[in-house]
Amino acid sequence: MRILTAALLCLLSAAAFADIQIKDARVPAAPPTASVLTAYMDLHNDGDSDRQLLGISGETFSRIEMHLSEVIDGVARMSAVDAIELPAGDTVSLKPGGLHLMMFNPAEPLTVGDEVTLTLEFDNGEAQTVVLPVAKRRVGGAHQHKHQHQKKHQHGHSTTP
Amino acid sequence: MSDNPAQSPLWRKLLIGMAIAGLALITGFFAREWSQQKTAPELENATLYPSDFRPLPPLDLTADNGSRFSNEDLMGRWTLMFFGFTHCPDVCPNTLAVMAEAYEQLGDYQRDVQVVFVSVDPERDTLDKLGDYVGYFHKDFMGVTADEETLDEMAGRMNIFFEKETPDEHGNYEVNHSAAIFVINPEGRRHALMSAPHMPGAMGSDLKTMMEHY
Repeated sequence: MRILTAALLCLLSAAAFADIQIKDARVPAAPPTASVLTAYMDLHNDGDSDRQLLGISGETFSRIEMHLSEVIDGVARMSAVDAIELPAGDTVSLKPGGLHLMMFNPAEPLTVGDEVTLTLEFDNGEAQTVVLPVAKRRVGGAHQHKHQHQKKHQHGHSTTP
Repeated sequence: MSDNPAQSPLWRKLLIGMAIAGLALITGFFAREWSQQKTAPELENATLYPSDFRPLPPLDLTADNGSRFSNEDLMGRWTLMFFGFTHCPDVCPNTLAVMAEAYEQLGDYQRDVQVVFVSVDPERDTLDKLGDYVGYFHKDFMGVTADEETLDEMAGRMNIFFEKETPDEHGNYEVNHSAAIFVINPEGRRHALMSAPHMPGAMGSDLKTMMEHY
């Protein structure tokens, strides 16, 4: 267990150097019986090199995938993507009708005001933990920037196993 | 002949003037009435079907409360119909949320409108699950579904597309589906299509406009 903790802290300590800034992250509230939830956020690559988001994990879901919704010739199509490209200096939005997370089997129903903790893993081995509020689903394309819930784990405390 | 010939031209001018004004008023009134009834309304997003609105094919669906949902349930009110499934975290819940917001904007028109979500995933969407899911977005909304064969036939005749993808290694599958919302008029005929992206303001005002012009 302690080894696991130490390994986790090492991994998280990398986030101290992270140049991916996560903004406006939120989980839109969904029916209590929903077996899949989504999460949206803006990922800004503040660094000088292109990066990739390779995976997401969260303890309260059985698994989390990255998906893309597209409307092609009037048909809504959804597909899983292996990675999300984050070009240097650019912002990529995970948003309704586009790239989004597909989070399977929430451990318990979530309502507005709850929080979800996710860990994002990048191609350079860095990981970043984000706390997302469960918020009322936005409609109509109004893009209101609410307060940002982002927790960056600063230098991990080294523990000897 | 007037007793006062000197005033006669003035009276005549007044009479003619009044006649012209009256005629203009009447013409204007009828022109307005006619234009409201006959010309296509200006819509923000919805596209009207050609004026010979075709009836829907025979429907043999089951509503989330267990009752049968057929063409009779379309009569005497306007219906917004959307096709989707509940194992869908993005497009379907967002569309339902937009429909809920638009429905709330209808005011007095609301009682003449029903919103129906057709699940194209009857394997996973049991009636109970469907009812809970759809009712979350608005208590008045109704979920309906049928077996796959019935849905296939209905989709084919309504020119709707849906397609179940091959399940992944976890057994999860996506169902690609038409993103448009059907507007069905109180005679149970296809009236208009609203295409994605859906916005509550345009949806509500387009629906009101269509109802006013009907």
